[in-house]
Amino acid sequence: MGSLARGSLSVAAVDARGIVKRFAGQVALRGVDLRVAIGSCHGLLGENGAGKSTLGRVIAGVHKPDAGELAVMGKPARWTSPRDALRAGVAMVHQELAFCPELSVAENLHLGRWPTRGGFVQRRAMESAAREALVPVGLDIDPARAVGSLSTAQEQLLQIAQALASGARLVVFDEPTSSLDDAECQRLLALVQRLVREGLTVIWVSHRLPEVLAICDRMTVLRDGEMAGELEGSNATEERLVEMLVGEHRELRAAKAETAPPPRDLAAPAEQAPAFLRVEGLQGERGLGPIDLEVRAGEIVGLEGLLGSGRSRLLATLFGLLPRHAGRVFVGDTELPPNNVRAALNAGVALVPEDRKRQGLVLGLDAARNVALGQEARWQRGALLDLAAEQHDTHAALAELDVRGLRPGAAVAALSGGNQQKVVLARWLSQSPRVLLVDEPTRGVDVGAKAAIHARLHALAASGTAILLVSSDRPELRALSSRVIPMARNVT
Amino acid sequence: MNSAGPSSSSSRPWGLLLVLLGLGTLLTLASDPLQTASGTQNAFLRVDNLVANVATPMSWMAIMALGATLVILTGGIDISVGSIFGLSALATAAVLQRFAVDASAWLVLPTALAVALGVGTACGLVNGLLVAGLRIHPFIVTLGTLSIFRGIGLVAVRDKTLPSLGEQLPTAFTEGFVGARWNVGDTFLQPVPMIVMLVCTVIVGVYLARRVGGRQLYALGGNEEAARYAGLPTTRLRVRVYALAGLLAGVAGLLSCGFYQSANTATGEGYELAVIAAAVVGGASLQGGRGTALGALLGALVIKLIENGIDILREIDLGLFVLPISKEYSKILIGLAILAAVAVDRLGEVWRRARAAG
Repeated sequence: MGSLARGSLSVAAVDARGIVKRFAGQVALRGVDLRVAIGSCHGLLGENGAGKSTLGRVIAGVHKPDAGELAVMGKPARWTSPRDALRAGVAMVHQELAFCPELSVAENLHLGRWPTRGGFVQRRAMESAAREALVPVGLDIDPARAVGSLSTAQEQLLQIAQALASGARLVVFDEPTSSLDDAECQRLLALVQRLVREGLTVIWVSHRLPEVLAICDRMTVLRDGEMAGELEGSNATEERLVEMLVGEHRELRAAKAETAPPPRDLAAPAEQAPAFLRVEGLQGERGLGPIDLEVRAGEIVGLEGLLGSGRSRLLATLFGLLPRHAGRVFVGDTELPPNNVRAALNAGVALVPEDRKRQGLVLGLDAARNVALGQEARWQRGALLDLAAEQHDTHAALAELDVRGLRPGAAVAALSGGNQQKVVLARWLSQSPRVLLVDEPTRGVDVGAKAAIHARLHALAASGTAILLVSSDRPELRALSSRVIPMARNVT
Repeated sequence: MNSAGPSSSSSRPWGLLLVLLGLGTLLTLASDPLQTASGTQNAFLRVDNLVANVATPMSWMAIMALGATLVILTGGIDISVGSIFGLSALATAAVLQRFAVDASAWLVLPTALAVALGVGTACGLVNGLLVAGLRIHPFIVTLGTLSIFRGIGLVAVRDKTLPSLGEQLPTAFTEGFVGARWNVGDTFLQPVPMIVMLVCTVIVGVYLARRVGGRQLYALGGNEEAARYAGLPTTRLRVRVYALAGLLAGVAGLLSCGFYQSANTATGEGYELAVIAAAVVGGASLQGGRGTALGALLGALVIKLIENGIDILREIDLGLFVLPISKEYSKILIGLAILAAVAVDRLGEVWRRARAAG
């Protein structure tokens, strides 16, 4: 708040007018105006595909706008690369991290401008300079450490330190909290607030409303590549933002009703239902376990814990992707052999993985083939696959999750995050699993898609599937689960 | 090369066909008329030139390019195909020279098939097991086996060339099968290698498009981790593609042995480069996840046409000046064709990325 008092009225940190950006015929931004006051924290919101990240990247010089005027700190900005932007004092903190994992913290911080004497790198000078650069972000690590050994949160702080050290006065954050846990998130927000107080201008691209409301002085909402509205921090509420985000035509109320916690009578019969998934004394990689748990038919059991507490490892071990060192796993009456994905699949276990781009999808293939992946044999007639039947069934599975109008052959890489997640879900739901392991089902997914995914999970549980859920989104975990099991340090 | 090809790789087969059409037109227009018994004919556009000098010698290359495409599709590489080709040709000759020259086809052909395909598949299986089992990079594995398979031939065949002096391969295999002649007017064709090539292309094409194991290769090459999460038998698939590449190299070795009625310890040396080039020109992406059987065939055809064109032409009249062409240019032109194909591939990738980023 108080951006008006502090920032100069005449010169804006960013003054963008009529920015247009197209990607191979698809319009990402259709003439967007944005004014960011110097020394303010400006939120940029929107659903997936609304264009908020694209606008952030245009400002940081990653993308070149196809039309429109951009001025930064009062000077026209016609950048062709992030380097140009950095020279003008604009840096970006990326969602996907951009360091060389084999090089040290100091080497990464000074990448491209290592201090040398006579052609030799001055390692010691570089490391002491790095130590200084880490102070403003409160990162207390050895600058000689390899970046690959840092946690995601530490790498992010390193990016901020790098931006500050290179003299950035405007930093664009692109979905910075999407892979942080609650505590890390709070620390990052506090740090950004402090930096803004000290005079930094911040553009905060996010779809997480609470954090935007907590730190931003002003927020701009984008929808379908256009400005949907702007709010002053003092009179912004979550409800008004959601209205702007989804527009009036979406069935927001219906979506909200569906996200409500399950009615009691749904959870009740689970008490008597048979245990579909039974885990006894399971031990796995990196000290996982011993873990005992049971999930009954029709029950959604939430695993609550921090990043690194072993939740995702537990699911991957149950599915047979990671080695199981000890313990027994039963699905119904059948015992699962360890390290055997095929056996788990045959017993009716499905895993919706945490990272859809790395673990869930083959980005170069189309949606139908991603849905069919691993179960192609279902469409085998005689010696050959019946491609028409496969198309029909996979598209039906996608339509059930409200993914429509896909062009056959179009790579899923071009879909929005929400639709990509639905493609992954469609694969597993179309196999009618008896036990569904779900890891972060709605990470980076917009409000509408989130509601649809929640509704499907409820419906699946109601039809008798046992669901084991992992989510860092605590309200989601609480809302979906009929029972929550806390998990910390590899045990439940 | 007349053209850099199409702008998007999704239209790759069409683009390749356009390249071929352009190349064919250029060669037809630029080549001299030829006097034959049946009148004046175009030196390039003649059935016997196209079969004897293009389709037949490209057969072994195209068949191996099919195998290379399978391997490249999964993100792997097999540089030992030339050695597998040579070893199976040698093994076939070594076994068949023990038969009488006029031995029955019923005896000779099954033996030839069993030996050539067996040796090829066994070599491929070794590659596959080393790559998948020990998780060694396929370039290193096949670099090693390239040398080993070649070396086995050198040790086993001291005479360097088979059949040995005074021996002869059974005619049921050579003139009776692989080298069978069809009389066409006053000339003859030897269509069997070409037919086998086309049959192999159809089989591999159907395998990739309509069989579970074939279609899963695209997923394995596109994103191995996602394939594993989806429950695909990734190790088995990986072993299988190297075995299939070996099998196809065995088929190629069989044809070469029968057509030339001999095999040499140097047979197929350096072929891996032409084979991988054909696969890449045909649209197989070394990053994995992309490639087709038709592409491998067309890629091999592009390369063979360039070689054939250089054999036929002595100069190309470009209007402003006359470009002299001699055999020495063929390597440069083939190199340019590979680079053009990869550049087109790269552009397509950049385009897709930009699209995905939106």
